[in-house]
Amino acid sequence: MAAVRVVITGMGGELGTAVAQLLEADESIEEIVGLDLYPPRRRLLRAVFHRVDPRNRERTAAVIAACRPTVLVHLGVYEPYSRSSPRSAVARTAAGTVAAVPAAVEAGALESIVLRSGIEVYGRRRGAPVRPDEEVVPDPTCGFGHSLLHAEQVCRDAGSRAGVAVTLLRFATIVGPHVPSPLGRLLRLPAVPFSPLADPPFSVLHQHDAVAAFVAAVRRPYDGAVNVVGPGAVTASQAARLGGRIPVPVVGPGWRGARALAEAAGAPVPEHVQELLLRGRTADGGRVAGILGLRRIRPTPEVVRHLFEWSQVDYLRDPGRLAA
Amino acid sequence: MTVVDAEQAPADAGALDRSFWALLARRIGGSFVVDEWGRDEDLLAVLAPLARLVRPTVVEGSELVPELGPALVVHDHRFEPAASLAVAVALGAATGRPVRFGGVPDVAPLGPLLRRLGGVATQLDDLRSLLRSGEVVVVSFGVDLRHPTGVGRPDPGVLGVALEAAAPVVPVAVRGVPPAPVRHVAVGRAIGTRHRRAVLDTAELAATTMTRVAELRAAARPRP
Repeated sequence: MAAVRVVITGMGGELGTAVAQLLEADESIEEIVGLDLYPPRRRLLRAVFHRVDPRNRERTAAVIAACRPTVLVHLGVYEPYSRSSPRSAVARTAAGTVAAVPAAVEAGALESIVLRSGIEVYGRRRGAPVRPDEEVVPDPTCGFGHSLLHAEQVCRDAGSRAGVAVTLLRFATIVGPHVPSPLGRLLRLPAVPFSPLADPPFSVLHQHDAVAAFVAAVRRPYDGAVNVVGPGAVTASQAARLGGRIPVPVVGPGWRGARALAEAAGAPVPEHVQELLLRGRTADGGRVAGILGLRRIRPTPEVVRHLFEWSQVDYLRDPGRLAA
Repeated sequence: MTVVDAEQAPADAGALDRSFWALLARRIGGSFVVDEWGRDEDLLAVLAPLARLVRPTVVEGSELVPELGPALVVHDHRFEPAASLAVAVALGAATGRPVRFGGVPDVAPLGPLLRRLGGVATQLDDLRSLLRSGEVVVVSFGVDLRHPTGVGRPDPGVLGVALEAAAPVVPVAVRGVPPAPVRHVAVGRAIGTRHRRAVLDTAELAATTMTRVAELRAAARPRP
């Protein structure tokens, strides 16, 4: 690739910072510009960061226009109760997408868009496929899923107008020791609610694998959706036992009390996490190796065990380790 | 067929230990394996022998089920609840492969419980995902209202998925309606689809499958 210029929205988050660090090590990338409401988590050497509220369309468009990106990495997708309340998560995701994507297209040099999406877009309606692949038509059943689908549609529309590849990375719930994740927080409580009538399996993805997927998508543009899911699954009660927590059976109206207690304990349960606990959430990630070249994705049980280890912050100084 | 990277395959040697104490330890510690479709290998290891005690199943021709790769096993229609579950458990024990069965309702608590035993809803997207992942799935013919006691009719959508995934279709006939003490499962020669996708359409595949199942049924019928 010649004269690659990358704009990363959502650079202030754990994933955005890590993606920027890995891209900095790539000599073929001429310029990296980031935007977010919050500053990056770690020191960046080459990347230029702009502190911009994603709802500020004019400023977002101006920063992107000045860079004339060839690749837009749209990480400015906010998970409810991750870093924002559910309402501001929806507003920031929608406004940030509507501001950033058209601005990147209008800058005139864009070659590809990489979007952080999620398997929440498939929904868990009764009768919906348990392990959807990329051919399944999205039909979200939670607010976060709708928010992701809206971002996908904006990117797809802009991509088709501009004739650029749009890689939709549909991640399983991203958890890790240092990622602000509502599911991660809930599983780390001393007692974890689960549905004794269903206790369905769900899959998660390690933060490093999500970062590696972004870097791979920047290097190997692909036009379409790709599920990125940690192989295997766990149930909520199983995850609690893996972490030495107490699984607490909850049914029907008891979920209201469980959510209130979890919120009081510092782990609010958003709608999509409750849906995951009651209906499960997995997806077929069999194509990611062929499309993005990611052959070693951490299995879900290993990611859950890692979540409970409280390991040290793992600074991404060696890009080769993750990009492989 | 999906080839699983050796690094990604479950490396827990203890997972193979089926002793009571090992099963109990995994249950308490949470290290038992539940896959993405909800199949719980340890739970099956406990319940399958009990099911065989209640009503034994004899399998004839289990070697005709492919040792590797996907396969769609279709059996004749039965007015018997959980016939597909019984066929799947019997074939799983006879072949040593995890065998799943379709027709699970998406209603708790029955649906999740059957999923633990290897069940899946007969949802075409899930079936496609299973066959692409190299799994063996048992499904039943639907009832043919014109001939209620006949073999039934296969679902063209299900066979279309097998054709698309190039999965062989394995015909099976089941004999022995309760209260008969033993259930017989006769497995027929697989109908290959890999090299015939261009010439074989769903209707022809359905007709061939019905003929094979009917032949198996006739052959299995006790002669005077």
